[in-house]
Amino acid sequence: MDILNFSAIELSALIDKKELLPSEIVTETFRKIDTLDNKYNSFITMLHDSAMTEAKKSDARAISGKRLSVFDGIPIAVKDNICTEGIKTTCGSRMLADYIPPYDATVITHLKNAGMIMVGKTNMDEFGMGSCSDTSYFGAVHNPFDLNKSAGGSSGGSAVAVASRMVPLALGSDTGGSVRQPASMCGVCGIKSTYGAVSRYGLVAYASSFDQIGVISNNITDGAELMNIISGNDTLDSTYVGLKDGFTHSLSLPIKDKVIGIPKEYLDGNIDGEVNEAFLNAVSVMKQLGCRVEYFSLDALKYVVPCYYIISNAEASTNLSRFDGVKYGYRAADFTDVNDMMVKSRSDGFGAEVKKRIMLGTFAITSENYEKYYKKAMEIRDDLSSSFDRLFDRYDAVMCPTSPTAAGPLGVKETDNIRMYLSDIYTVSANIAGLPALSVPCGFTGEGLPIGVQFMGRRFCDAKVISFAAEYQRATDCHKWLPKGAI
Amino acid sequence: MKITEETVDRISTLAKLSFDVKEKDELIIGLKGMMGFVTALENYDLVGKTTTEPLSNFTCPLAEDKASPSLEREKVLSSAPMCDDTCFIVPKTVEEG
Repeated sequence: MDILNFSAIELSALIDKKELLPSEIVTETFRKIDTLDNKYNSFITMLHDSAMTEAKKSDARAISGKRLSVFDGIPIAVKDNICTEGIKTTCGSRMLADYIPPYDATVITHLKNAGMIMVGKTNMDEFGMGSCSDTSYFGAVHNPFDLNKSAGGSSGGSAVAVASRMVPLALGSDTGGSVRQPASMCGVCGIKSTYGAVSRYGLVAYASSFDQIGVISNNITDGAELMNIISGNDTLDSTYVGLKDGFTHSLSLPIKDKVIGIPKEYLDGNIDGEVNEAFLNAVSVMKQLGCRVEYFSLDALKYVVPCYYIISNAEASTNLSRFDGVKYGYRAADFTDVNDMMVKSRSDGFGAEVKKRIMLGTFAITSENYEKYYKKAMEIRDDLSSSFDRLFDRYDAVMCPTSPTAAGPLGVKETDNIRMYLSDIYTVSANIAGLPALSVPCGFTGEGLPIGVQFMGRRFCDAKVISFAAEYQRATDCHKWLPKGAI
Repeated sequence: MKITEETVDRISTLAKLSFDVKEKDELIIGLKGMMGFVTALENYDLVGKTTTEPLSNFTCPLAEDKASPSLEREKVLSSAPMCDDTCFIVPKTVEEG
């Protein structure tokens, strides 16, 4: 039996019983990656040597009964926009193709303190800007359920690495759905915490008021345990507030008689028929588990995507101004003066999607447009956030599909930007309002492509949201289905 | 607002980016589409709306006012495209008078 078909918690139990050593798991991890990843392109950098060195140390701790955490010795993949000291962190961009950070992100420090083994850095849309993991300078990521289909994005590499059981766990980042949407497309679980529950220090910034580091796992319990590890204390991110009671205390709490709200707006219009059917089946499961389900209407939801794109692109235009060819990153070879150096370095170093978003963001914060677009979007954001606060006075959780469609074909140039941005319609609300949200598998299309269902909750009630997904997974088996090529 | 080649030129100067003619044409189409899309925000009526907990008023926790070690200069400089022992090196920034 392939040991990587075990969950991270099961692997941990085998290590505890001394039936398996971390170095054996890591060896098997690299064997699988070497065998499979030429098809998926989910990794940018592999860490054979450092991972084996750390695995041997973990072996010693396991043998002496002094493991550092429940996941000591468990392999993990890390999205390539999370800084790792001495290890390339490219953000999927030519701009940072050779960048080696001089420090670790706080979440990496937490992984190391927990004894986890980082085996590689995963492919992604350039700077997190995309929904298909096809804007990477290092090539597109392929979905293990159909190599001609997108893996979703932007954390597509992390989702594929977990879905194909090359690693049991991975870190991603979620600005508008970039953990949940690829998790949905690849048939795995993705968790984005409340804004502020996990330190962003060392996450290369796209849109700072939305960005959160999240986790991807094969089952929600593994993901919740990993969230406990990465949400540890930090003094380096001024927006970090932590989560007092952690993510796992409600895993076994009954959800009977809890009330789930479903936004009617999300089931109209653009949703694919098979996604709708899978979602309604998931709703039936929640009813069978004793939840009460109510449909509600929130007109403001139609403003979520334009509001998100104004603010996120405005923040991107300022955040990415740091890439000027001076302190780090790509510098053009030929230039006439310092301004020319910056313009050429940025124009050559960034890809088309990134440049387009910088342009839109810059446009939105020019003196003549600031009030009309950026300020208005910020006011609407506050109002939308309040609307969600009021929703959670009535509902214990909000449930909706994670994405309106299953994975789309790779290699088709998306010329309609609006359509591309609307693919995030179900996920951006959680980022706009800073809510905890997660995606779990809930079915498959006739073509065999995974479909995900999303649960959202009140800010800082992450564990409660996880309890819904945990109960759902105990009653269903979609999360156990493997892509054929990965068996 | 009308999006023209002049608009793209002005914004690209601010963003320190340059585009060829084909890219500019694509950008004009893309920006026009996006502007049409986000103009919907104008219809959002905020009159009389009160926010329960505005995200924009989020209070950040403060760090202790105490000096602590920062990154080592050598490590920071090691990522630069061009540097000497102590500084980043950039082209001349002051023009001769």
